[in-house]
Amino acid sequence: MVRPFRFVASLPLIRLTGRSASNVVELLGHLRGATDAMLSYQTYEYHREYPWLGARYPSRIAYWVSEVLRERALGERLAMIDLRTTAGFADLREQFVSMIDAYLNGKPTVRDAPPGLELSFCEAAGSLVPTGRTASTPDEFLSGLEVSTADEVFHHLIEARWPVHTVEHDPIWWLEQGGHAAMAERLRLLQPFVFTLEELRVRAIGVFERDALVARIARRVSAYPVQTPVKGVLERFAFFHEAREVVHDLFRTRRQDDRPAR
Amino acid sequence: MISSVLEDKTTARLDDYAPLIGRARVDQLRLMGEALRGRTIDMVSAGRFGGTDAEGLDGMITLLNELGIPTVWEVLEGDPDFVAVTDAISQGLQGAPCPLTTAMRDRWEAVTARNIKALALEADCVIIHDHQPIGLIAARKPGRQNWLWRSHVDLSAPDPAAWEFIVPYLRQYDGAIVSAPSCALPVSIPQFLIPPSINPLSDKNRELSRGFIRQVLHRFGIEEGRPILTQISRFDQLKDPFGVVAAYRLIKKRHNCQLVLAGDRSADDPEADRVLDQLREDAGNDPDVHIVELPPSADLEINALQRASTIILQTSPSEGSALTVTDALFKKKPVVAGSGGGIALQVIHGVTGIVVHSVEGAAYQVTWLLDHPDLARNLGRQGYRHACEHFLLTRHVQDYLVALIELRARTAGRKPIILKDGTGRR
Repeated sequence: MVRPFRFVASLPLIRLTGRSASNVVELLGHLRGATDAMLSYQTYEYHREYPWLGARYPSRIAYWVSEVLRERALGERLAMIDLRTTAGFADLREQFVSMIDAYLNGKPTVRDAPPGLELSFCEAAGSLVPTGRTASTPDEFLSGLEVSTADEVFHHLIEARWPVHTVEHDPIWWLEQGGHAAMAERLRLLQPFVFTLEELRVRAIGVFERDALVARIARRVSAYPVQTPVKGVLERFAFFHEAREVVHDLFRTRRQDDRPAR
Repeated sequence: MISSVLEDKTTARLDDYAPLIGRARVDQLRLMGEALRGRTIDMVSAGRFGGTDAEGLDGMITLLNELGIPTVWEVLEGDPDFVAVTDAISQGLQGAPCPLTTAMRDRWEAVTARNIKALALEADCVIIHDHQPIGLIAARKPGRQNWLWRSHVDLSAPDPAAWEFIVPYLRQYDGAIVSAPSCALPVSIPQFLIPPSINPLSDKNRELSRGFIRQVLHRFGIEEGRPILTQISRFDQLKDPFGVVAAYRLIKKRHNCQLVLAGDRSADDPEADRVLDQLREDAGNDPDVHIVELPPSADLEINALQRASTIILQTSPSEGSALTVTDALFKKKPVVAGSGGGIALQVIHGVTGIVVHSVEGAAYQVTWLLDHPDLARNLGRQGYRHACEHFLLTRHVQDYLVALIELRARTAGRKPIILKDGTGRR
């Protein structure tokens, strides 16, 4: 039996290193020696700080190269480095480095950032604070998600999916362990870096609400005999979204189950 | 005095912030307070009024005490000679030449020694604000206390003499807190980025009645109904007031606007006197340039001036915390600003405000915003969201608590809970 899911808030603490880049050449130099915590600052913490920018640029590096340096071609390429499919920080570093290296090959000059707009290489650290709220069922998880802070949403829907973090904080893992594979898969399909944290929360709630809705409809539908005309049943669920499709599927499944085996 | 008739909300409690930050975040702060319950904090600054260090400390201390973390605020006792020394160092840390004579150093050491005896400095964590009290580190009790140094100014290009003066003290601290990544200090002590914050419920930021705002405008001869461009900052060359006037002259060719340069001015400030004289000369007979001198406690008047403004300017090339920008963002005002220091975290060009690098740039962008009021309003709304999410007092308190957790772990010889560098379990 899987343990209850525990809601945890991820609270950031940014450490300064004094390192900064004024142009793409310096950026490459810093990236080669960047620690994982520095890369986390450029990606995850950037998304937390500027969620509405994150929808356009998935990393601070891509934003800075495009909008500050105006090296647009490189910025577009860097924007395609997808954090969701990166295997870890080493892989992320390698992708950034090889892309910038290739761009600089044969490029005679680079632009400098205006004074004050250099790209800083800070390190992301912080603490996890248990909230005391737990969930034993998807319904309880939904209730917890509805009242979570942005720091909890950030940790559970974005950070916890990163390979280095504690698996018990990942709601996808928790759902899979609890036998809710379909719901886990729908949650996995959410793209965390194209939404603000609030939009991400709403969409995640939608995943749970859909399944809760299906379960609720299924309980009600089970009270009707299999021969009941679907149209009459549908009228009772007219206010549910996708009710027609759900009810058809449920009745189709029940009729198949009732068919005598050959 | 106008200020006295309105309600004082500087002692707001945690629940009072819930409408702005949400109940969940209030509960989260309470949980963190429980984790640190019993730890004591001593905040030390050079004064209770004026300057970024004093702003917000009242509200922060109220919240920390409410969270079960006893916090006191001690103020350095000085004299005019000591103030002259610290002013020189302040200018030096921000880049001006800073010749420090033997007499000045002796004065510094004497006043610092006197304060070490007079102040309690007993808390588990002592947080020293800015350079004036930095020498108090001699009172630290090793192994029993954590001392943090909180810088509120941009130290990215200090005068070498000023920097060499404070570095021996700074190296003894357990850590430093700065307001922006560009303010990183060239010393090998842990440095944390904790942006400054505003108290949304203070006199400087709370809602005001239209009637009160109108009273303030009338008091300073500013007309309603015409665009008002405002810069709020002390009268100092470093704040680029002359650049703002030059930009205004360019904007005036297209829009019949008014310029308000408002700031506090403490007594015996020769720099402010010089700047004010020059500004008045620059303004000449222009009735639409309003140079408004305010006492340090005129928060309601500053609030009213910002709320009445069409566009807020802060074009200084070098800034520390830039809280006047935060105040403006919180009031949903479009902001046109330089890129120095703390401004860079707050004003994201084209999203939460406009960043400029020249007088002509400021004039162009302000003119464009006046020509496109809908887009200006949109900038203001985005800026407000950004300010609420990242620059309110409650976030600042949270950051301090996380820093205390980190320091406590280091002092106990435990590895802090670090999430982001691959050391988590899987």
